[in-house]
Amino acid sequence: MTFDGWAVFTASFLASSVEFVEAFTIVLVIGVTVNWKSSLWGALAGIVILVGLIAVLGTTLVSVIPIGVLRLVVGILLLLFGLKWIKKAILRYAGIMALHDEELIYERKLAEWKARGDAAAERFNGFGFVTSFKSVLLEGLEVAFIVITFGAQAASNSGIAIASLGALAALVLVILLGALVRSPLQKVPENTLKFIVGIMLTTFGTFWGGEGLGIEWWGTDLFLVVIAVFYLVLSLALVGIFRKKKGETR
Amino acid sequence: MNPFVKALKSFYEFFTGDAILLVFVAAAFGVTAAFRALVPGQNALAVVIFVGFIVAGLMTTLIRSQRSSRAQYNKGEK
Repeated sequence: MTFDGWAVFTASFLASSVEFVEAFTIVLVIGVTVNWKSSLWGALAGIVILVGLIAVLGTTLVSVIPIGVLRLVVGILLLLFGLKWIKKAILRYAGIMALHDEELIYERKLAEWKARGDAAAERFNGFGFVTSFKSVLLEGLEVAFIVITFGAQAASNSGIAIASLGALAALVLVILLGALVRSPLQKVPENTLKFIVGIMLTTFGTFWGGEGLGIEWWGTDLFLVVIAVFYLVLSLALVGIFRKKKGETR
Repeated sequence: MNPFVKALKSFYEFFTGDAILLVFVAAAFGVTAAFRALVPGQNALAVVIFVGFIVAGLMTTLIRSQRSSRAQYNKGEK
């Protein structure tokens, strides 16, 4: 492979790795916190639509799909999901529980089913499916954009093929890393995991929603870490405040 | 219940189930989009407005939940 080819491969590998890590993290935490069935079906549905779009549109995908609008829609939905999860986690950690919380009752049932080894715990979950689906679809589209734009810039005719290989190598690496972290992740307490999922969904929702609005994040994807730390610190502070308030009023 | 209203209610429950969060998230996007259109180039301020609405939404819904929980607790005490 020529120097130009290696440059395209490396650029595509690095840029795609970031996108794959983002999608894979969501699929992984949804699999651990909700269930694997819903998470993997959602991811599979996203991949099928993505492959279909690429097969039909080919390199014209870049001009046909309005990625800004897609980021906006996915950002709004992730923010709504994420904030709901953070809210619940803060209320739980602060010791504030609603007396008639249907979702809490459902979660208790789910825990009972899990304890009994009942297959119902693996029932299809719409939230898990949709969250995995839209993350895989959006990030997959971004990888397709990376492959097409980097590939088209190469001097050789095989630019897109080389960029695709770079993206494929990134996918394999991310899946291998994901398989390694899966077991330790399952040992984390469920409430803590749900809190982390809430932070992550809100972080991605803020980031993608902001991008959809035309906001330029400093350091691009690296700014995700800053947003995540911000929401984590804010949530922990809110847990402290509401726990104190609860102690004062009771 | 009207099937259309029922479908709309299920859709709402699935995606948010929290009117306060829905209103604040909608405002975050609406106000930031309007700000960017009216005052172009102010990226940092747009971020502050966008994130500010999100944080305000979270805090408002938490305060409401805490108040309703306290009210239910007081009712139980009586």
